[in-house]
Amino acid sequence: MAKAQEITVRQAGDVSVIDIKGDVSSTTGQPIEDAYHKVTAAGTKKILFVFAADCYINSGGIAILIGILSESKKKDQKIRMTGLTSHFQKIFAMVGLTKYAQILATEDAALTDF
Amino acid sequence: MSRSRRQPSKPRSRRAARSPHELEKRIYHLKTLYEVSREITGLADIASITKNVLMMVVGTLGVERGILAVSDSKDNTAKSVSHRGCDTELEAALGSAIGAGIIGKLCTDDEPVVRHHDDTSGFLAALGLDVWIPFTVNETLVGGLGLGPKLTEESYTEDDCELLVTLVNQAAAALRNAAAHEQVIRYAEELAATLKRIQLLESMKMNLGKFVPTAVRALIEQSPEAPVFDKHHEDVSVLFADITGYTRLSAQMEVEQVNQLVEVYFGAFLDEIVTYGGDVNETAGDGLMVIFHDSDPRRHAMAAVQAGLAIQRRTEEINGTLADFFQPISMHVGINSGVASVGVTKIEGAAGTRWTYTASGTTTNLAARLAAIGEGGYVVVSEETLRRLDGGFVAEDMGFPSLKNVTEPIHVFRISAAATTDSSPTTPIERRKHPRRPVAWPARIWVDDCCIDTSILNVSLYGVCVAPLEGATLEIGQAYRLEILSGDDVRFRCSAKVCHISERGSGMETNQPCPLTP
Repeated sequence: MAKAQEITVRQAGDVSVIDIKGDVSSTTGQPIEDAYHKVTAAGTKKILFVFAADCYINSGGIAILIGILSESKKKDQKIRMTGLTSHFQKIFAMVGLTKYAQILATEDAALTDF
Repeated sequence: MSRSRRQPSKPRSRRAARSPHELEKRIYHLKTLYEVSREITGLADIASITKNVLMMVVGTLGVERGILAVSDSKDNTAKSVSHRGCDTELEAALGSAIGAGIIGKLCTDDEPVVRHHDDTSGFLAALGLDVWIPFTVNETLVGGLGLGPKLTEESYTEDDCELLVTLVNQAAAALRNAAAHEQVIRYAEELAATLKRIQLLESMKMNLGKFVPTAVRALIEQSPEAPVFDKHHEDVSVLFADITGYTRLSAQMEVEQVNQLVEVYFGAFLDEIVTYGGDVNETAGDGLMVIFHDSDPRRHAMAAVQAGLAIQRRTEEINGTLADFFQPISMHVGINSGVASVGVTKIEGAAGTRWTYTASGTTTNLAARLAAIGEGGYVVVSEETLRRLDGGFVAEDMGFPSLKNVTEPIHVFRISAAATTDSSPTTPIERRKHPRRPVAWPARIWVDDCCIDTSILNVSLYGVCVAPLEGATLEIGQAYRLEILSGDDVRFRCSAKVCHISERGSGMETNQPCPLTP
């Protein structure tokens, strides 16, 4: 059964932090895209995606993230990600997401990496 | 049915040589297959299926650009197009490719996956795609899945192609089901719309039927696509009935009361008219014009007279019932029989054309004039109508009254409703089922224990016409002992009931078959 999704946006200095809880799939990806567009509209150039420990991301969800990374590349934004389990870190690396968005172990590490 | 795409060939040795990384990828691919299958199973619309499948393919293989398009192969129009990472320029190029009918045809003879370097059409290059997998959904729909370069910048492997072909096969099956589902929904909607139209037509038919004469309905039902309303000469009986002093009543009563009165009386009249097979042709406030059709000219005259008499009887009944509410009314009823011009009369004007199905000519005009000289309790008939009744009713001679706009003298009779109690529409007609033979047989009849000599004028299987009696009166509906003689001997004896009395004699119905030969 799909876990309820919760997306929140907060600011950490000049970094916009998007917290993601629950499942990420093609059918639940719209709120994440909306959050990205919201911070982009605000002029953010640094965005950190923080995935909760129980996040499940399927291939449809990865497609959403690819779309966001593709757009961020054109807008010259920096994207970092954290909170991902080792399994998803492997998957993200396998599909090439890590070429455009670095994955860091902790939120602090990610914030200081920008 | 669409055929499944053949899986790309793969050397057995490579299977054994997979690295842990490849195995992980393989597991991820299998998981994707499972999830795609699970996600699209519950989807019934083509757009949702193409979108979801494309998203999962793009996410599994890690590509920015992906296209999943389904088009109608008959007219090369897009049925559903999902894409990721395409700008407006690429969208236009995709639209052109669909219009050119390329997407379902782009394939090589042996390989299910078209790679960029094998594509001679330039289609993949134009769209910035590395691979293209065409597929067939059903007899009408074709499609294709195209993917751009991977984010990893790696080439598409045999494993990738195998996964893509499997995904495409799954997508094609789901799209086929969705197309069938859409068709069922479409059929159901068409059926619902058709049923609605039928209900509307039935409703129109029912409501229009109230305004359309029965004869017209019969003509339409005989030939619904091209009913023939042309005027033709037909022998009919025409009945006119109107309320005596309607104008005076209208002046004395409220409009609603007048309408109520007309509805009550004419509703009852309509029942009688329908019972006798009449076709109400015109209603004009206080009047009715009714046409009686029948292949037997005597039968429609009989039906018209019976209907006219029934109108008079019902008038009396309702007068009694409504005595506390309305002043009693009386009806003028006139009937004439003969050839009339029956069919559509078209009245053409600048504002349009009005059609009236009616019987016109002197037969109709005379019927109207006869009604005008009528009075309550009687039905005024022409000599021609009376002649057809074969003495079935008691008729009083009214002579040759002056009729408006009728120059020729017309012999007119009136039939009393009070003297005719048999309201059955079939009895007199039944009586004439058997042909009459004119005879001149001696007979005797017992009236109040008196034996009266008489003669039989004509005979049928169950009926006789007895010559007028001297010194005695027969009563309609009364049965009498009757003997037919042969010399001094009684040749035939029976009980005979009087059905009608006229100047020519009394029509009697016998309780057993009569001899038909001398």
